[in-house]
Amino acid sequence: MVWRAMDGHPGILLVFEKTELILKKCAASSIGSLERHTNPRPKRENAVPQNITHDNLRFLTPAAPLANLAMGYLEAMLARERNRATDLVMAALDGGAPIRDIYLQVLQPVQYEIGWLWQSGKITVGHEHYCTNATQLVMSLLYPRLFTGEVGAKRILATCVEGELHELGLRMLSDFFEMDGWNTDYLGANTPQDAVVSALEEKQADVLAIGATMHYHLEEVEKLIDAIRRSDQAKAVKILVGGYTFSAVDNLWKQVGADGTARDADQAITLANQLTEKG
Amino acid sequence: MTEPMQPVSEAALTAFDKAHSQVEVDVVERCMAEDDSASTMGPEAEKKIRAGLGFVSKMLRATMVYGAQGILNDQMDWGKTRLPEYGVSTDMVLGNFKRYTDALRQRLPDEVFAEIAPYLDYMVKMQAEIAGKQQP
Repeated sequence: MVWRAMDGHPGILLVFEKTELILKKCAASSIGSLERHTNPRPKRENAVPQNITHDNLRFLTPAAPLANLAMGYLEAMLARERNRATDLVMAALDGGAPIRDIYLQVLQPVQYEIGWLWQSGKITVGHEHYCTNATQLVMSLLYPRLFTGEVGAKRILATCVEGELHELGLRMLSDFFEMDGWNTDYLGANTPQDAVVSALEEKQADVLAIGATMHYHLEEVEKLIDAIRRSDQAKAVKILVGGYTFSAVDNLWKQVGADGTARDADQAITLANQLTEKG
Repeated sequence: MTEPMQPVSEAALTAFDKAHSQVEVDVVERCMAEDDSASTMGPEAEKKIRAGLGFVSKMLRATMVYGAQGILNDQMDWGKTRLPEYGVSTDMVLGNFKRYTDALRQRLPDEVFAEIAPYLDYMVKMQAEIAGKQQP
């Protein structure tokens, strides 16, 4: 088909003819790409970066439970083999490994290791983000197995403060509460103060867990707690704070006005149960 | 075990908030004029130094709000491992902390600087230990 300009202007015609040529080239190119897609994709040979050896590791130890699985998971992540990492975890679960152990013995220490490998310059921040997002994907795939039990009457809401992007630890904590029979509402990273207060007023949670990793988000934690205590409908909630900043520096939890802090999920659940016991 | 410090006053924090951006600019200028930062940090040296100083201001502020030197300890410990990856040595950090202190001294009223100074002294002292230097 030849395009004709309605007004017969040669300049316009030229434009149309050129357009037709471009369209033909695009069509040919599309066919080429379709042909390429019908061929099997070449298998990529991914490998762990050569600058990483066992000597670089801090958190994975051979004697730990599920150590082989953790090491395999780490190697798959470092090789950017997300599917292989997922398959390893799913196979372990099918083989009877409890989800709780997968979290504590594999996902958590491997994420610590990934963080350390970035800090010590062995992987880039992009690689670290890849691994973290892949672990979040793996956690999502576990949810059909995780959210199956009956939940009790207690409810926890978990959130990171505004500006805080490190959410994986808090998400894990929320999942542990779910496994312990709590109703959980996980708000995620970087949640504005007003949104947290509104969610508390709406959900009437028994406990609020606030996560902060970066030290300079401490004031946001304090401001959020102040705002909650000023809300008639939300002020009775028990507030736990946690995350790197609270575990790195003692007693900060008191200074921001929280009811308590915990270094790990077990401690957090015990404390939350104590704080919400009806007297 | 270090002695706990008093959190600084609201007035001092407000003055610090107003001053620190310009202080960071002052220090970057001195670094670029007096050091050969590009040789160790690459062509983005200025950008990296500016980002690093911004981080210092945030961490220093958090420390001063809560009187929690543990925050500085933790960050300087982190820096020992991380900063060499940016081409920043422990000596360079020490030098920049001293410049940062000088710049704050010039930009802040005397009474405000006096309130903040213990934190700056602590930061310099701790970094000197990390760098293996005796402070006078």
